[in-house]
Amino acid sequence: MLRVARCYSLARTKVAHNYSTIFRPEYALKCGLEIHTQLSTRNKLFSQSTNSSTPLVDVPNRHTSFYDIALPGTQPVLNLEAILFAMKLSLALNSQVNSVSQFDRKHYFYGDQPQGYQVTQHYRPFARGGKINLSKELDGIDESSKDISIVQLQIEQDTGKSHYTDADKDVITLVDLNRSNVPLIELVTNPDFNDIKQVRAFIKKYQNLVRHLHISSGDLETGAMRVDVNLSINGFARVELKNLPNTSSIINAIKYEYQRQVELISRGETSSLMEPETRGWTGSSTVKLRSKETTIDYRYMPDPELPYINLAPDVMSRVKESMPQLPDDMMRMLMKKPYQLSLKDAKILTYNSNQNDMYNHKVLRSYYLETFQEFFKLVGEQGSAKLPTNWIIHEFLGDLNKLHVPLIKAQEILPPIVFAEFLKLLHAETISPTSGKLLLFHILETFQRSNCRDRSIPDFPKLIREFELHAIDQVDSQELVSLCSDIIAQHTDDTFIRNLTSGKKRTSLKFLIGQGMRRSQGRIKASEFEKKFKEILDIQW
Amino acid sequence: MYSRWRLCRIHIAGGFNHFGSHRLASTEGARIGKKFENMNQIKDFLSEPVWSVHEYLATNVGEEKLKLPPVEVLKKLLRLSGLPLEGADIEGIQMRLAKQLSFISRLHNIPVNGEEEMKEYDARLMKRKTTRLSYEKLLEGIDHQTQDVELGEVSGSWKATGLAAESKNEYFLVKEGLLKNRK
Repeated sequence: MLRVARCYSLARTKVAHNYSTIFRPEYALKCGLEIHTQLSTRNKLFSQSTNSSTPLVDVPNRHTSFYDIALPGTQPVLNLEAILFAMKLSLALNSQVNSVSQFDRKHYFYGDQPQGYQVTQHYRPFARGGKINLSKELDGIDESSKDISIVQLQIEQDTGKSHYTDADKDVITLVDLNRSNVPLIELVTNPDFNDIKQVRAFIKKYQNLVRHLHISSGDLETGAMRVDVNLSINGFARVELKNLPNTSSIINAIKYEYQRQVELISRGETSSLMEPETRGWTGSSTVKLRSKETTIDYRYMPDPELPYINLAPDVMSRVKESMPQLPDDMMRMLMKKPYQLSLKDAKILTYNSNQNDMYNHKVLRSYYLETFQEFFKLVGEQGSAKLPTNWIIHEFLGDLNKLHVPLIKAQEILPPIVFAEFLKLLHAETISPTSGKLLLFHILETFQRSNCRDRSIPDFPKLIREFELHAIDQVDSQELVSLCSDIIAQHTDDTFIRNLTSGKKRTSLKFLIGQGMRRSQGRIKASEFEKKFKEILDIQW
Repeated sequence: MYSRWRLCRIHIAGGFNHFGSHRLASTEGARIGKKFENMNQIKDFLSEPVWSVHEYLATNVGEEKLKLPPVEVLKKLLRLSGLPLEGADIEGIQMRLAKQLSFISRLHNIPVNGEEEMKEYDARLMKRKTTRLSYEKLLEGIDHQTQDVELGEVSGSWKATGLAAESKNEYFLVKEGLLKNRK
């Protein structure tokens, strides 16, 4: 397992290294995406059977109704939760929702599609238009701003899952229909991407958006989000890339296909690029799946069993009112005054990775914002915005991860108002940062040892006294001189002193201060040490 | 003439509903008639000689006026259909196909009376005007979702693979040939 991970990371480094060299301006890349997103509704799209959130561990065919496996005589009934979720996404993307949309049948035969057709929206989709804006500031693309426009959003049902096996003598396909009839939204973009950074940024942004709206887990690894890529170079025919299970596959498949086509074009062998084709990703190369000759005729027809979706105007206006602030607006708010967060910190508060059990971005953000407010109530305008940022996002979260204490639990003993008190101690230099770190870790560790049951609010003054953590305001000058002299004697030689006093190697002073902080366990301020060392060594700069 | 559209909802022994439709039309237009009540009515209806294919074919359209599909298109269609090119009566097939196309285009041109507007997406047997869904009704519908054990909606309440002739470890089985070696 470890070996696989290592190979994978090496491969990634190699590709990343090649990135800047493979794209050539004379071969213009044009890309569009087709993204299928599973909606996390309670039940399935046209039946009320369970839409499981743990598909990887479920017993096969356990969450299947008679409709899901297409027993004769069963009929579809629309799950309205899918309409609500689709409305949220359409509004977030600024798409125009059709007041009347409809379901249609797309026919094709496959083992994991028991009906012989997929119910989708072909003639009148749920919404059309809309965009996602990418920017240099927030998404790290090369252009200062770029809109990726959306063609349409349609609601449709997922198929079952096929597991191919040739372990048996008789080669068979195992079919699990738990996923059959799970609601999906298919989003199609225009071919607006011309750079791989834009593709990566779009996927990340869209993934975060569906998580933010609580309409999907957005996980590529479990198949909750699946991305197909349409790609063409210098106006040649479009190639569709499928079977791309994660972001690195998507990126590597685009790079591979780009290089493959550039080679064909540069050799003048463009006959195979004249007609559209569909290619799959094997993990290291793209292979042809279908060409124009084998295109399937889906024989679309309006579904005769499902009434039109006819939405009253208040559906849009009321859902709009209930929408949360969107991630981009939130990021911009956090990066401006009074918070002034860095892009990285703003992302920690806005992007949900689904990968940290200790906190989620929503709880963390409201904790941060509340603490920030309480802190400024206590210290007034003189407070530094950096203090709550550094102590919550870095120290506090770091401790929680180390001790495996969830934020939601830790809040019971350190609610925002108490954490603001703690920050005030640092602001007033009642304790030094080093002592603050010790104190915070001690409080959380004690809480963890009680199995998060001892919910008493920490008494900071008592703890500071008990552990003698208070900063030393009145440092005994003689004591400080002898401490500094001792450090100089232990850690320096003539060359060191010469380089330091001449100003040739000024950073050496920081080293001495660090030693001082260590010896005093952070209770004497760095500025005191700086002053004293300069005095003793007669440093003039 | 015999201008009728008929919608039937036939109750079949065994209990499930099945929609069927008949579309009969002539140059005079089309309409939806009364619904069929039983199988005999359908049989009677179908046994009436109501129209003749000749009405739309050679008798009305002279062979010399038919627009023949190009030979290249025809050959491609034969290839797609898996039919032999060798020894094929290309001219004969061209003529037959031209007649069929002319027939279909005549059907497309039949005026459909009584409908102000006909759209492709309306071509189905459901109400074209449906009740509007309000925000309140939407939330109500979401809150009142219940799983019906009678429809197998409760997880684990029945064994889906129990109906299959073959299954393996709770999976349905599909022989690979069906999936991969399709033409």
